[in-house]
Amino acid sequence: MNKKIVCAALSAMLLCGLTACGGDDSSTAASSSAAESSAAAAPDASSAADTPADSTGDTPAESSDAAPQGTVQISFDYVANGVTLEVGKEADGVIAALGTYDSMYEAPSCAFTGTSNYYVYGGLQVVTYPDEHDQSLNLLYEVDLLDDTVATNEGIRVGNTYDDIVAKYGTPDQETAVFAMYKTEGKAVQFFFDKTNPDVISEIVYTVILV
Amino acid sequence: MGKKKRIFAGLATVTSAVVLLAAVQRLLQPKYMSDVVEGNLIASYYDTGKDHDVLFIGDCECYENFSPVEMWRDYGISSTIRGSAQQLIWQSYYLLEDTLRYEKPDVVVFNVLSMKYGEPQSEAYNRMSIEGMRWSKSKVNCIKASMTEEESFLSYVFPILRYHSRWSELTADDFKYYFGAEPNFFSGYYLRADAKPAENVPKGTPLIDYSFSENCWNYLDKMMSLCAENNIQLVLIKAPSLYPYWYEEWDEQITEYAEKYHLPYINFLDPSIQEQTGIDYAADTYDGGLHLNVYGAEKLSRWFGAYLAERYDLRDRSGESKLAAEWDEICARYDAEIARQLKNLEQYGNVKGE
Repeated sequence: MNKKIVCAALSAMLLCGLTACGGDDSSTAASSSAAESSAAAAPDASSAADTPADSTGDTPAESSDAAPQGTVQISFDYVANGVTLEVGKEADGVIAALGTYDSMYEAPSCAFTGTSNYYVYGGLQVVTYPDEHDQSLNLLYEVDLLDDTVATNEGIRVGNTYDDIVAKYGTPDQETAVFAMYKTEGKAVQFFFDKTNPDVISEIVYTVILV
Repeated sequence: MGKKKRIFAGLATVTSAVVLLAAVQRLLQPKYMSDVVEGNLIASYYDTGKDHDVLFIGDCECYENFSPVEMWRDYGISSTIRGSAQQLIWQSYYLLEDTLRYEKPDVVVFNVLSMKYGEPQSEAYNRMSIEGMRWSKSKVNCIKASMTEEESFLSYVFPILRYHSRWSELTADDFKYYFGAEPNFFSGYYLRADAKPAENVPKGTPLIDYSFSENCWNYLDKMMSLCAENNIQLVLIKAPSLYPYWYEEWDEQITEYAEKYHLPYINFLDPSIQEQTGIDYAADTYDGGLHLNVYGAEKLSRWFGAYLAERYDLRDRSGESKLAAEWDEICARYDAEIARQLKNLEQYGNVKGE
């Protein structure tokens, strides 16, 4: 009889152990979709995944260390009309502060509720994505300088050259024939060069490094 | 108590505990009925007929852009979609393997967007692509290939380990659909009858590296080999979704691969193909260009059905009574769902009727 009781007690303990230890670990594939779908909800998630790729094999050097004499300190937070756009941080406040946008695009994630938003202000594009832990919170994912009407805080704009970049920022942390990048913890400034004229900048991107 | 009785009592106790655990596990697993319905897509395949000429595999760009009903009605082509949200290429491969356990289609259509993901991405999407699969070697390998660092194989074997904390979140759906989900797809197609024009679609931000990963190429190779071994024609497509952005550099890599291995590749974003399909992004998408609505999906399927029928000698099977009866049921549900969504749109302004 004792064995029977022990057996039943063990079964009950196993059951309780598996079902009643919820606590605040409420994450399920369905209900915590926000958390787990954020990568997909992130605007063009592929760029996020690809961003940190050190596939070139270049040895990164700290940009501040590498900066030549007389160059400016790199700012990884873009300032537009007095509003600081810090990638990876809360976005709704800065979007409101930026005022009326020229156009906007909503990109909902598949299956889940997260939405990435693209706001365009002239030559500036600001991209947000939902926070992985709180879908109601939008984070700043990317700030794109699309044309020569806008410039980085250091004065570099579309149409400038590789030499212009190096003169202001120093040696890039990572570069190939098509881009030059300066990184700090969790974020980067990327300069992309024109496909047909690879010395000239075609787009500048302040972005989160997600991986 | 005799020895036999003690053994019997012990076995009965253990069996009861296992049954109880299984029952609780079933209760706690997400039902994917009122919300995130896409979670039921993979499992829904097993409840349908297994006599398909064409199999679509891939992500949402498959299950939201192609209407198998239209291909049946127009050409008598029996097709199904084994699609799931953010289905990664290795998941597509193992789903293909899994499907071949049940049937052998003439044509397999693979949407190439997932080539951009070289590594496991998200547990939530993994669960929706994998948990609905029946157990097989393919499922085991799919889990192993898909798991993120935070996941464990055991939690796929015993989902209660993953979902135990849902006990405090149970809803009426968990009881209502305890014994199974209601069919809400149409041979793997997710139907939407509303419309939201595609406007201000952003172009892709430049990437520092456009190369697809070795992992993805390996699985595409495996997919091609598996099709060849089974005498199945593999057709590569890029569905006409405007977002996420499909880069020219990606397209060139797929084009080169298709040419190398003599595979057909159709990029439905190509303006000349768009002109032929007649997709109107002002009316034929329900979410601003990410996915087509039913009217766009029907246009696309009409064009693609003709393409497949002509090139791969797919005969009109509408005269086969058993198959036709299965499709009659699907078509009836399909028409009813369109009517339901249109009614909701009129009454509530949205297809869900909320």
